[in-house]
Amino acid sequence: MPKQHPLATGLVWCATATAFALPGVASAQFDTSGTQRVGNTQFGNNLDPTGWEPFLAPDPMGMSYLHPDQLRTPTGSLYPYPSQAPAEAPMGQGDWTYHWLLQFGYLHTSGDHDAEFFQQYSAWKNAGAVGMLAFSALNRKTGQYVEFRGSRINDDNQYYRLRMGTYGSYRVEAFFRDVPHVLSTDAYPLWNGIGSTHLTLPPGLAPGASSQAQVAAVEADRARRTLQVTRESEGVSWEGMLGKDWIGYAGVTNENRDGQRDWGGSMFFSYYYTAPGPGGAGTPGIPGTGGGQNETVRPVDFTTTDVNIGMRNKAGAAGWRFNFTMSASFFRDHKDSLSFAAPFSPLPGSPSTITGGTFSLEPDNNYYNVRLEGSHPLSFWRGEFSATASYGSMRQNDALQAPLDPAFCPTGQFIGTTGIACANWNTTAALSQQDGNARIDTGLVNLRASFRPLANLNAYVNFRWRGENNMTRYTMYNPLTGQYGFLHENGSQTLVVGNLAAGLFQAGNPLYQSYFTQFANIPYSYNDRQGELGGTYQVNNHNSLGLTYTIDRQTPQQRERTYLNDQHLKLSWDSHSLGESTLRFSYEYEKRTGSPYNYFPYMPWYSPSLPGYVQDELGILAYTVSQMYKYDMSDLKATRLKAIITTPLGNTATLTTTFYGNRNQYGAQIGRQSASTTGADVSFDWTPSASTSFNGYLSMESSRIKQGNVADNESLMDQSPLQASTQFGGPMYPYANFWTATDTEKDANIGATLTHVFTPRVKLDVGYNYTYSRGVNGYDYASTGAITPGYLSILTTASIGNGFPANIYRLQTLTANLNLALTPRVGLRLFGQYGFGRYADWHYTGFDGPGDLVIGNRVYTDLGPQTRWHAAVLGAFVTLKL
Amino acid sequence: MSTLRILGLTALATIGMAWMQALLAVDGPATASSTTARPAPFLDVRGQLPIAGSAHDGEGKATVCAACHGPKGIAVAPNFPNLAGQSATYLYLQLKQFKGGQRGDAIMSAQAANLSDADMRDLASYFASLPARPPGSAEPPSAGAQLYLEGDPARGIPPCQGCHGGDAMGPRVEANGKPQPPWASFPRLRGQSAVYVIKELNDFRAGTRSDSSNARIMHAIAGTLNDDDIQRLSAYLSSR
Repeated sequence: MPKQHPLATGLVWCATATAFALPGVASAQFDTSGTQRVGNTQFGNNLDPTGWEPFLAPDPMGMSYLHPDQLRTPTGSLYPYPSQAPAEAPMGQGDWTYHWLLQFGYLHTSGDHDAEFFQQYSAWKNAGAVGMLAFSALNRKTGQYVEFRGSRINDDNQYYRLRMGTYGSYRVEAFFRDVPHVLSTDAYPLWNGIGSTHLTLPPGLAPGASSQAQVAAVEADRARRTLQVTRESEGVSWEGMLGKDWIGYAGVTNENRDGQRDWGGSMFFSYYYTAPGPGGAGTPGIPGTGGGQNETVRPVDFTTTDVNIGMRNKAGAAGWRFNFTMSASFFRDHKDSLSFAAPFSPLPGSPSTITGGTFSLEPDNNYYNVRLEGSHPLSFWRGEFSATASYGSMRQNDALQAPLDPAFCPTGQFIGTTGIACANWNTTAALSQQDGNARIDTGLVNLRASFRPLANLNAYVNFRWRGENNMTRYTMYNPLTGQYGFLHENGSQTLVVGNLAAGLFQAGNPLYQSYFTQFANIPYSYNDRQGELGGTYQVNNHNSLGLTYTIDRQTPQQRERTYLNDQHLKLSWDSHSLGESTLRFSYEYEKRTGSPYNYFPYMPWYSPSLPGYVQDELGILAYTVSQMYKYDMSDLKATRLKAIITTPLGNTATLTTTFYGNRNQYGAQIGRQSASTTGADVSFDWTPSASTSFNGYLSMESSRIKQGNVADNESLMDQSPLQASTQFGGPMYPYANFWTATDTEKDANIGATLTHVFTPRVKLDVGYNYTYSRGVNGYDYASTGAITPGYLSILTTASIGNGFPANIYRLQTLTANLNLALTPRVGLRLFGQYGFGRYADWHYTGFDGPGDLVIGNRVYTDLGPQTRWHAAVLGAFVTLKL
Repeated sequence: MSTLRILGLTALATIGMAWMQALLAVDGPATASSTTARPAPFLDVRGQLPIAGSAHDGEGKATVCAACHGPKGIAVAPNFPNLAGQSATYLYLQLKQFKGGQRGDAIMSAQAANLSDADMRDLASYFASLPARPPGSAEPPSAGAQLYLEGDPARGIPPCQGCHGGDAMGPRVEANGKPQPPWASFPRLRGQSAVYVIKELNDFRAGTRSDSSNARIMHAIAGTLNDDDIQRLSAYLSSR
């Protein structure tokens, strides 16, 4: 199917929508502040996360001529000092005034400036930079304004925004921005063609026939490179009056994601130790020589175009208020496949017929949504009724890709000794249909009535229905062979294991008539009806109580349960009765139950459901243990608690303390058993005057998640009818093979920021942040029966232990900005950021150089983040302004 | 990339030039101050505490004041304000502003020029200690009373009584733990002549009195008043 440019599709959609939505444009008073229906909401970067730093000179007069100190929010936090309005000058002889600012300079990095966590979201470079370019003009008489703002650190990290309009009438906005995401700074991809859709092996390596020594030697000489994805986005939006009572809005946003990232490339299992290492049991085994695991690099070349158009009614006929929105999103993947040459043969000792693999990357996607919201006051109990209805549809119809790439399984050849002809699988004639023809529709209806029958009582009732209908139907059927299913692992599985495990089913063919395989997509869908009743009661001037009861009934299709009932009871208490402090407390209890659990409801999409399936005399190998509950389908009892205490300290300081925690107990022994989180935040804000502000903070969190499972009794597989037993405690899943995995994580974050204006000409901002994270993947097991037998020969109880080494992430960042006003129009800004990080992740253990990236038949690309690094970026800028 | 390097070099050059400018500007202000009158610095009175002074000493220093404001603080002509019974802190701040230039008046600026801070405190305390002008005849409900007591929300006019008291004799302070306005610096208005009230409201509206935080408040409020409002308010305040 020829691809249509997303912008073209967007414009058609926009034009169609406009035909319904433009009765006429008129001017009137309305508020457009902060609606941001299309576009990015935050414009800032690593030099200036606020996006307004050069303009953030606090006004000593605060917000009032009445009193010297700042007032507090209803919950007790101090309002910040507003910023002084920049100096303006008249523009010509009319009523316009304007101001501008330009800040430019040079950035220099030093130390381990290539450290991944230093570059991650900044992509710092030694280069000139524009801290800010801003221009603003305003006509106070007519309310017309123009505002431009931009900043540029480098090609990959910049933003520009233009806004113009007339207050009370309309606003137009256009923006452009680049945001970097550095994924690795020490990648050594084995392949040539990084960033393209075809990865080839460098000279000296033969696909499917290279030795481990050859690959390791080539890998050791590969060049270091950075893997990065940059998000470039641009857009334009409009919001303005349509007649007297209607406000219209429209916008188009386009985002291009471009770059490369680590990816996979499986050619069957490759690390299957059959013997312990030279030191005997408990020592690392000798790397296997079969299969192949390839950490490739995939291209990222996406475009997402979002179109949004709608109108809302601010007063409405007969008291109705409406908001009608049509939106569409068009995702385009400009590189929608990836092929890679595989260096090793999956079959030890002989060159492979299968010399590479192929991926189908993300398909193009069109999404459409219409949404209508309306509300109307009720004539009793000061009530209001509101309703929302929404309908959406996602569609994909890319041309489908052949199961195997003819470059790696050429016509005329056969896969090993299986007799499977490449020609039958390396063209799209091997598919049951040529295009995806995928579609999922979604719907939403929400009805709500809220009341205030008494001055101190609010109550509401809400009903919501949501539904999702997956209309995609795809059958994995090869009309050339009459077979169902697909060739696993790019055909390498059948190469290694033979026809019986090729992944195919075919009635009447003894090689395939008993193979258990999925042959069609499972169209997961659901309906969800939710009712909620809630209210708040103001007990007295200092205390307010809230109570909410929610019942949510889901009826999923093609899932393990036919219905789920989720009930929530939530209690909240807001209080000013604890001295000067404000308490916001909430407690929630959730209970989920449902229909009897069917651990495997997917048989209609598996080969035993097809005519001609011949059950093996040993029965169907157990798919999984029947007591295995998926966590979104299992019973659940959960409690959640949160308390926020805001304590004013005099007129200039605030202490905010937050405690929170949740406990989730799942009704499962196999599957997720429990999950919990406990945390606390403390924040101290002190603003003794407009010229000084200080914030100190400390956050700590501990989380734990535990799951259980049971290893299958591999001695029964293909050996005994008992292999079909799915019962926990039965012969296939004995209690002795039970194991649990517990992941614990402790996180801490501490830091402080200080801003001080020494004189109107000297301003200093200093910030320090320390982040710490420690995660441990622990495990326990009933006996060594829980360990895969293939590995038992190389392990001892001592070497198994009870967990992997801790993963630790530490990052300290010190940031400082010194602004000096040399003259009223010329200033100097000195910027510095120093980062110090330490990192430990056992997944990367032993990767000290590119020569370490080849282990057995596995090829890795990334050495992992640096374990210890120091880096700094320094900048000097000149600020010129009106 | 070369463009970026040029940017960096330009930045360095500009810093150098600006630095030289800054050095050369060191001698500038002294020269300028000898030829140009500097505007009076803005007076922030938001943190003003009630003042203390000696009424006894102030009496001895008030002889010259009596020429206009009367021997007992009751003005001899309607274009002068009555000072008797006025808030001492308010009076002190006005003298301070006359001296500092934030408030201009040919006679008062000259009179205040040579007063010390103690003189101003004493004088303010003295006049505050004098009995205020006796109330006039109560006026029946009027548009001025309505405006004073309730304002006009539709036109953005706040009620005057919020700061000047329900009876116009000054604010009534209710401590609530929140940042407080400098209540003592707000004047009583009751019994001032209509001529004086009109002049001051017009000065506030025109921005002639706007160089203190209190004057900025009144500048904003007076901007919502038209001539009729000012007439009505002055009539109401002078009648009581």
